[in-house]
Amino acid sequence: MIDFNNVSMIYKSGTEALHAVNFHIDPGEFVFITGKSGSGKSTIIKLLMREERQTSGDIFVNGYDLFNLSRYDLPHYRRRLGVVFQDCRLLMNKTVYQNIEFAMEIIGESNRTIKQVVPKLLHMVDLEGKEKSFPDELAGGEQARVALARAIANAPDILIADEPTGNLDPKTSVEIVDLLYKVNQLGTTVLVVTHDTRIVDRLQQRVIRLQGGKIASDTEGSIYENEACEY
Amino acid sequence: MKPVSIKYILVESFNNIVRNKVLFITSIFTVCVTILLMGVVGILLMNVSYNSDTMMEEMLNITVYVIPEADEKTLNDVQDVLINDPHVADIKYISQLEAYEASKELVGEEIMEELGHDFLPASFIVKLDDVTYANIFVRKMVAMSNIYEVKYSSEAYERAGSISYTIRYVCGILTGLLGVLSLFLISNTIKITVSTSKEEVTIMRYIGASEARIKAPFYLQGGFIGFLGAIISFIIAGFGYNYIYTRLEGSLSEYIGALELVPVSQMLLVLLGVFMLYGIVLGILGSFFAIRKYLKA
Repeated sequence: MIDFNNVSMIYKSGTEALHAVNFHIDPGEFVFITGKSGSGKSTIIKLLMREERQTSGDIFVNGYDLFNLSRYDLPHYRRRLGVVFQDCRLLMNKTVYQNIEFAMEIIGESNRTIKQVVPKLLHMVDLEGKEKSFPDELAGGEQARVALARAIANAPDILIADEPTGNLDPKTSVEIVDLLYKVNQLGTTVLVVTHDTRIVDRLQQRVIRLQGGKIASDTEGSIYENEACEY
Repeated sequence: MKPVSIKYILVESFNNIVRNKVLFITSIFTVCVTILLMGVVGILLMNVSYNSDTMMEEMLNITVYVIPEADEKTLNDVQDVLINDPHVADIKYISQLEAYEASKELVGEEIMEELGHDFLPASFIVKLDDVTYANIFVRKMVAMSNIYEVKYSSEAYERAGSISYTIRYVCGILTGLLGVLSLFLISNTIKITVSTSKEEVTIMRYIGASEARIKAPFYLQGGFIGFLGAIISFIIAGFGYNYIYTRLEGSLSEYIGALELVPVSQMLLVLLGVFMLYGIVLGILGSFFAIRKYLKA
């Protein structure tokens, strides 16, 4: 599903963000990527989103060779990914319903499908009754739910969440992580980039820990019992 | 494209317009002024051209005299050359007998009878479709062995050519300058729309929207600005021209001889076509420049 083979990334400024990184993620896995600021977490997301191209090594996702991905294939590749950003990036001039509808509309889904899927998604993220609300009328956790519903609207193979609990209180964070886990249980590969020890501990899933652009550890379950103070 | 996509593009274009309505109205206004200015110039040039065509029509005949001893085959050969020339718009044949009869009325029957009916050469009166081709045509005819003489008013041709050239030159420069101004204004409007939609475009790219789907609403918006500008200009120019035509038609010839205005229906048809084409093409081109610069993938 996701293969990083000896991937290094050096930005134009000369900063080496990743150094010979290797990992493999199978379909249906739930993986946390953790690490301090500057450890290379965001670079991994940028490479997966194909916002950047690695300096060396190979990245294969869903059968696509990301380095050689053509401009024509890029939208098709991205349609198989769902992304939840830390700041949610909702469209403020659209309602909750329209934000989710928008994601489906722009890839050419039919009105019929949209009308069937959006209510189901709203039910899943527990936002029934908020269809007509605008994002600025919602609490942080509710905004995160809308972002999650939008990310999974096109039934992606992989869901990437970048610090999904970054701006949330502990209780709401747990709710969001539980939702991510629920999505994973439905068959989607979930990749969560975070430095929130609570959510990593809660789920006890695979954790790839980055340090200085290298993989420091790749373990199952929590790694924070003894290292929480680092973050 | 799926109907849902067309609906999406239309809705997004409309939303963009509503979101930036002041700018949108300003753009339409400036495009409208630009097209109107071009329209005024066009109306003037069309009328000048219309009248210069009428006035010079008679002067622009070239008479090709065939040698007096020419037989039927020679005449046919000359006629073939004329028919096959792509710039020859019309040919009228004057036989020796017709020339003789016409001259009898001018110089008197007695003199002409003395000279005989085969004294005058047969001729072809030729009209060209392009005045600038006249000199080339005359040189070509003079070079033929069975041509006796070619008569035309070189001065009239040169003047016609010069007027025609000036009209095209002035029209070209003005249209070009006004076009650049419109392009700049439309491009600026789309640039601002693009910048207000930046977040939306970023999300669209992350979700996997194709570039065509991302850019189509902006092209449509540019085309719509051009279209509306053209429609408003057409209405103003059409009413204006109709008013001027009604006021001047009839009284114009009292002051300036044989001058007449291009009929309203003919003018409206040309204006509608040119304004629409100009407006829409400008709108789409303006969008193209803004999108290329500010909406890079």
